[in-house]
Amino acid sequence: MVNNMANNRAQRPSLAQQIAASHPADQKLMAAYGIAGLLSLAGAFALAAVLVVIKTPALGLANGELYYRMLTAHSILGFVYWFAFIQAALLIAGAIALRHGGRLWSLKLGWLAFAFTAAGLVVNMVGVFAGADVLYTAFPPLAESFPATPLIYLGYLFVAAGAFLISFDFLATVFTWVERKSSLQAWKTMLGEMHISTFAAVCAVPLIFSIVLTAFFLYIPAFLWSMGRISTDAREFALNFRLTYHVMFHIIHYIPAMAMIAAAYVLVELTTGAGSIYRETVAKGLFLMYPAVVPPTFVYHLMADPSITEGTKIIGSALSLLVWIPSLLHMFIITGMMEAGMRSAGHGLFGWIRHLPWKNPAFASLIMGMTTFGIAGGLTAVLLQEQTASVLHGTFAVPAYIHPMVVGAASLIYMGIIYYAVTICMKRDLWGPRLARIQPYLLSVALLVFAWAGTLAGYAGVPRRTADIGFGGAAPESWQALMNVTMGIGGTLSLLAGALFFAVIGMTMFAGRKPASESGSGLATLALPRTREFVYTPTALIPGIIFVLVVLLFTAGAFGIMGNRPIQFG
Amino acid sequence: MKSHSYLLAAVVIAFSVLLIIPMWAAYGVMFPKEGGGHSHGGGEMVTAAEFEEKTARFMKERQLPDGSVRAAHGEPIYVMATQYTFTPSTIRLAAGKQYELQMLSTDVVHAFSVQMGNTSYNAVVMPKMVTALKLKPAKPGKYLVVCNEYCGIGHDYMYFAVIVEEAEDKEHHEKSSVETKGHEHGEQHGK
Repeated sequence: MVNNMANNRAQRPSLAQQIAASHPADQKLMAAYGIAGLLSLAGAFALAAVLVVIKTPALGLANGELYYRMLTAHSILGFVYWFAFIQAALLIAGAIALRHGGRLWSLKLGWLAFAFTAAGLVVNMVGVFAGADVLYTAFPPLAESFPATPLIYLGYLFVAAGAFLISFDFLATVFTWVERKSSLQAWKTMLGEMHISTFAAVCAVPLIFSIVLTAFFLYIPAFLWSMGRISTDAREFALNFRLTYHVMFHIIHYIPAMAMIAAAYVLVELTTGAGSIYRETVAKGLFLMYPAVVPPTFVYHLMADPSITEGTKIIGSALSLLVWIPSLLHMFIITGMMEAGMRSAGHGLFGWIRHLPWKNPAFASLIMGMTTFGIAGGLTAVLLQEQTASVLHGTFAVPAYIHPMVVGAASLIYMGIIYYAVTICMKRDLWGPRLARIQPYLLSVALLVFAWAGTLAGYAGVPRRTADIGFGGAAPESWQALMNVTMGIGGTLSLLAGALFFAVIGMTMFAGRKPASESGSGLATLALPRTREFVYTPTALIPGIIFVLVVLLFTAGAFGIMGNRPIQFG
Repeated sequence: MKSHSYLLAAVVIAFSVLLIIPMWAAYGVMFPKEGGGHSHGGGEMVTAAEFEEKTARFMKERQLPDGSVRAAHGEPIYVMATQYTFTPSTIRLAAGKQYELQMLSTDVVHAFSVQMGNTSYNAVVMPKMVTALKLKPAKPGKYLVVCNEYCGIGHDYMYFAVIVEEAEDKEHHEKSSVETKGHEHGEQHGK
């Protein structure tokens, strides 16, 4: 049996020791990104509170103008800047913390990248609060009617430049790890030694570069157009913009997907100490699948558009099904790492699950993040097939899966990393371990309530991005109740879980016990005495089986709905 | 290596999401429909002015005294989306008949989201490019249609109604409308 990770661990210090030993100057840049990310996330949560109030019908406070502005700021902060900052921090971590004694190729370039991203954030927020109610999509020709629109495009150009520079810095760092550049063997050795998560980042770089390139291609003309420097017919411009935009936007989604899975590999090692029972090349190979299958599947965002022919949509739908595959297999490997590790310590067929470190908040973030990821992934089934997209396109089912995906899965797993990063780098104990313990569960349960009621609302036809869903009293009766549960309960609980996270992290930074104790206040790696050799992972297959059955059932359900519509379309 | 049989099983399970493809075939939606029609796409390029004229002509011919528009079987229905209204604002259809709907936006991107109680049908309506749909109402009733693509501050006020009438009803109404308006439409009279 090959146990690469375990072998590597024997040769080098533990991950936690490596992270602690990374160079303070590099750590400072990583911390700057981390803190800017946390501030963006806090902003996104604060604005979400306004959205929850406006979108809970029972409160009767629907207000269009305020809603669209807050929604624009909320999504730009959450989807663009929180991810841009935190993923840059993860990239730096991949370069310095996961490589013992690793240094960033150029610290100055890293800070320049940070400055660009931060400038983008400022420019974008000035734009939004100056009245660009364009939502984060900022589609022309709609964007034309808001004078502050150029600031939205300009901010996006800045953040794209920042992403390019930090990814370049990362890639240059990786190149320095090859001792003899002309030797193929040296490259192989370097890639083989590289941590899975760093390898994931290497695979993400071509995707990041293509996002950046598309962003320049899209937003430079858009900026000039919005400034009145290009006199193209706005409606002509709109068609091209929409298509190019979706190519870019689609690829953007997979950066958090890959980063989240990469972070999950780190978390499983930090929380349970488990190593992979498969060759690392399997997991690494799966990361290579993303740059291959992601770009051609952008069509699934345009399933309800007249601009794409049906043939293209059908091919697009078939390809779209492939994007689940690498993620499903990663989930199997990660679950299998836990299962084999736990069973090697002597635990029984299902008994191993009970003995996982459920009280470790970082582990809870990992396991609940993975569960939420699977559920939210299943909810995309109907949307990404041309044949069924008309049932849900543009309805509340879209935010109802996006939020569990980006908050309940990606952000929650990043939170798990942040629990470790803050305590290890600041050498402090986690403040309020009991509060931290419930936070991941509360956040994922809240988002699952949001997903459940919100998906039902989507099936019932509730439109997304609409302040008032009353439609002069003509809206179906079920809408109000469904949205009351989605926003009033799911939304409010999510806000509470977010507040809990910020309280714990903020207090740890300023009031966590110093020096940190050995146990790390509930973040200690599970001690797994190895009593036997165990390499079978039957339980790890179960989530995948459930996932496949669920997507098949959802698809059949959508066909059932389509067949019974009181008005038949086709 | 025994552990690898589990990895192989995981690969088989993951790839079985592709079982969705035979489901499309089973539901008869595997290949583009006859004549290359698009399920929610027309793809035809027209200018806003041309479309406005078509809509105006359609409304002039089919408008009832209450302002609603009754579509004729086999003739295209034109719906124009403009911030923040749909024109016409009420369309009457007969149950059991097949219609063709053509939609265009004269300004920004809008959408067409028909509410059918516990489900909806959704399509995007763009400037310049026609969204063409075939539809066949089965159950009489009044259906709300909303715009579900954010189109500006007044987005939540953008909606219209489709009224599906019993087939016999339709004939009765037609006669009365023809009498009131004094219009003659051979095709409708013939029914």
